[in-house]
Amino acid sequence: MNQYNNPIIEVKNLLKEFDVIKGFWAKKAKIKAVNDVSFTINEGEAVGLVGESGCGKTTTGRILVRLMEPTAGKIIFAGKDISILKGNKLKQLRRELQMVFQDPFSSLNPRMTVYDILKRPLEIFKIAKTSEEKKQIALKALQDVGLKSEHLTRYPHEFSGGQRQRIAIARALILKPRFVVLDEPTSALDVSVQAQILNLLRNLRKEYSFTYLLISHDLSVVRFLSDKIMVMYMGKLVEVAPTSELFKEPLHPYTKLLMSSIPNPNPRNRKKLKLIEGDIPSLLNPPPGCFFAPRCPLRTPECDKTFPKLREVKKGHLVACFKV
Amino acid sequence: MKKNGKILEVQNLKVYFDTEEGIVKALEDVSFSLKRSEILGVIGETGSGKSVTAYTITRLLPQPPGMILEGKVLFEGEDLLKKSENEMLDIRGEKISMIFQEPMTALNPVFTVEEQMTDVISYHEKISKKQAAEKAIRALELVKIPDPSLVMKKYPHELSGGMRQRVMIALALSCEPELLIADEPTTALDVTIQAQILALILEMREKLGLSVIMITHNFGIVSEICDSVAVMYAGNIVEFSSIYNVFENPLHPYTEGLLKAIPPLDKDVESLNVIPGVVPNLIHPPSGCRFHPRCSRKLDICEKKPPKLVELTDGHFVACHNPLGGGKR
Ligand SMILES: Nc1ncnc2c1ncn2[C@@H]1O[C@H](COP(=O)(O)OP(=O)(O)OP(=O)(O)O)[C@@H](O)[C@H]1O
Ligand SMILES: Nc1ncnc2c1ncn2[C@@H]1O[C@H](COP(=O)(O)OP(=O)(O)OP(=O)(O)O)[C@@H](O)[C@H]1O
Ligand SMILES: [Mg+2]
Ligand SMILES: [Mg+2]
Repeated sequence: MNQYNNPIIEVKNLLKEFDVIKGFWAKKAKIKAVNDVSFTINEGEAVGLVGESGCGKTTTGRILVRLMEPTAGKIIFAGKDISILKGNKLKQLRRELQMVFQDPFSSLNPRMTVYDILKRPLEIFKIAKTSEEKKQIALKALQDVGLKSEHLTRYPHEFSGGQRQRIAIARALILKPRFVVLDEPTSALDVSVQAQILNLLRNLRKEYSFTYLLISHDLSVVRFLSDKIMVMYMGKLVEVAPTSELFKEPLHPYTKLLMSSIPNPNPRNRKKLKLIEGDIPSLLNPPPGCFFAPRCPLRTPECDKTFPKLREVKKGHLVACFKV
Repeated sequence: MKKNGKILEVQNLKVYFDTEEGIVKALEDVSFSLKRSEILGVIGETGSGKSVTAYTITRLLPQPPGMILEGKVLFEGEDLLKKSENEMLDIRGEKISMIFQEPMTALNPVFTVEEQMTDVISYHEKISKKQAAEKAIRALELVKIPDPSLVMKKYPHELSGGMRQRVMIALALSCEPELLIADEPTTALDVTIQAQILALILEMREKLGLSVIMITHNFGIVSEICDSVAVMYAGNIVEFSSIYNVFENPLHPYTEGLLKAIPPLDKDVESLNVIPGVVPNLIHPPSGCRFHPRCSRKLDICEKKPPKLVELTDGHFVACHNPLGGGKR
């Protein structure tokens, strides 16, 4: 059912801790933003990472492309351990690992023209010999994302949000990377513009044949752009499944809650919205056992003791829950 | 109750902003109405004029730079645009409440929840601090806040986003308004928390007979809780009708295009519908119909004459020279 079987990214027991200030007395504390996470992404695969605000999606993405160092755990890229690379070796990695950020307004340098922005990676990696060659490559990248040659000399502020995101995508793809993290590439955009960018990403995937991790809190976006989906809750992966299967048969109670909370644009098919007490627990005081237990309808005493391990319940379908 | 059961009628609003770059023609001929206990969705993309509409109705529009040039806001038959500032203060405290997108900006960071709530409650009702505090706790219970007496002692930043928004709603409901205007009350929240806030709004309508204007850019939200919808584009209402008419039989090409641009949750598709181009600048909006440069059904007249919002079929209003559904005018 999955035609991809050559791992390009393998993540093993990834941990990322942050120091934070806690409470009135400003005591130092640590939170585990990414907590013992393991997964594999195969070459050519499009993987979605979903979960609610602050659950650790961006942190995971930044560590994968090594914009951030993990506290513990391993990241194997194309068979090579890149978890602790530094200096020049880390810099060389940028050619193959790229990231597109959520905010198209702050991710582009306002003092650089589009041409300068696109030219930089080419210069850093000495891709083109002549300036004519550089220009050709930049132009091709620009046209591939649906912009025109006259845009090369303009500055980011002269573009709309959707156009800026196109520029950011062109910058990420210009080096023909093997793996790209797309962090909420459309969440700052309006629906009509979002549709343009989603179609673009789908076409670029065919043309540039890169593997990607798509981060989003919007399940409909993830459905449109991924083969496989990973669901994260408070720094932990709770479910991993092929996209169609996750939508047909979500197994983890949190995934079910997530699915049943998404407003559906079909007024004949309304949810029975019910008001319940309760809130998402804080990473500062995570519950002792399963982090979802306090909100879980299937909770048993066992759930308050240990966090269930992610285990395969069907081929390619992993769940971290005692009750499934 | 007033005749025809309408609690609010907005008629031909025209609102401009005088800015350094030029005159922003933010609202042009905006009309819609709301029945008692109805939930109306106002939907549109960034800059389409949703918030300006809300601020004009509640008279919270900053003037200058804002200018209300034409129109009426009939609330229970009386024109709010003719009220004095003092009369409006009373109306905002007793009859119309508004909640904002980012609760942090509406809650004062240096006062506890209790201080803010009792302040608001005792301003409008001549009751003691103690009675006001009891009332505040009841309002917090209404929105299902766990441990309301504990939450009362907290400062806004000590609460999660979802809890802050519940406090905002409790505050807005504590004076038992007749009309609630919610400006993107859930955009900053997670979907599971959003579902809670939507459930809350439905429950308040049920319990208090509240009428609601729900401002959003999310068709899913509109479809889950609204009875009727007004679709805005670049300062105009382009379509206005019952939820079923708009979702199942859209007449305006923009509405149809937007509905098809949403990635579906329940099926796989190869590509999404795209509305070409971007939203116009409102200092120099396109001539005629403001949507014409992006429209696939454009006629010659569309560049020349702005279409009026007219009732094409029973209760289904559209502003288009060449509407869908074969209904040429
Ligand atoms: N540099 C940092 N220093 C301290 N804490 C951080 C830092 N970066 C992230 N965090 C915390 O780590 C947790 C995970 O954050 P992260 O940005 O990965 O979440 P996310 O899933 O991407 O959320 P969102 O959907 O809001 O973007 C959050 O509690 C966040 O506050
Ligand atoms: N104080 C102001 N001064 C100048 N222009 C303004 C002001 N407030 C709003 N506008 C303009 O009026 C138009 C409508 O803005 P409005 O805030 O109503 O949009 P909106 O539909 O609420 O968008 P969003 O979804 O981004 O909240 C925009 O072009 C905006 O730039
Ligand atoms: Mg993030
Ligand atoms: Mg707004």
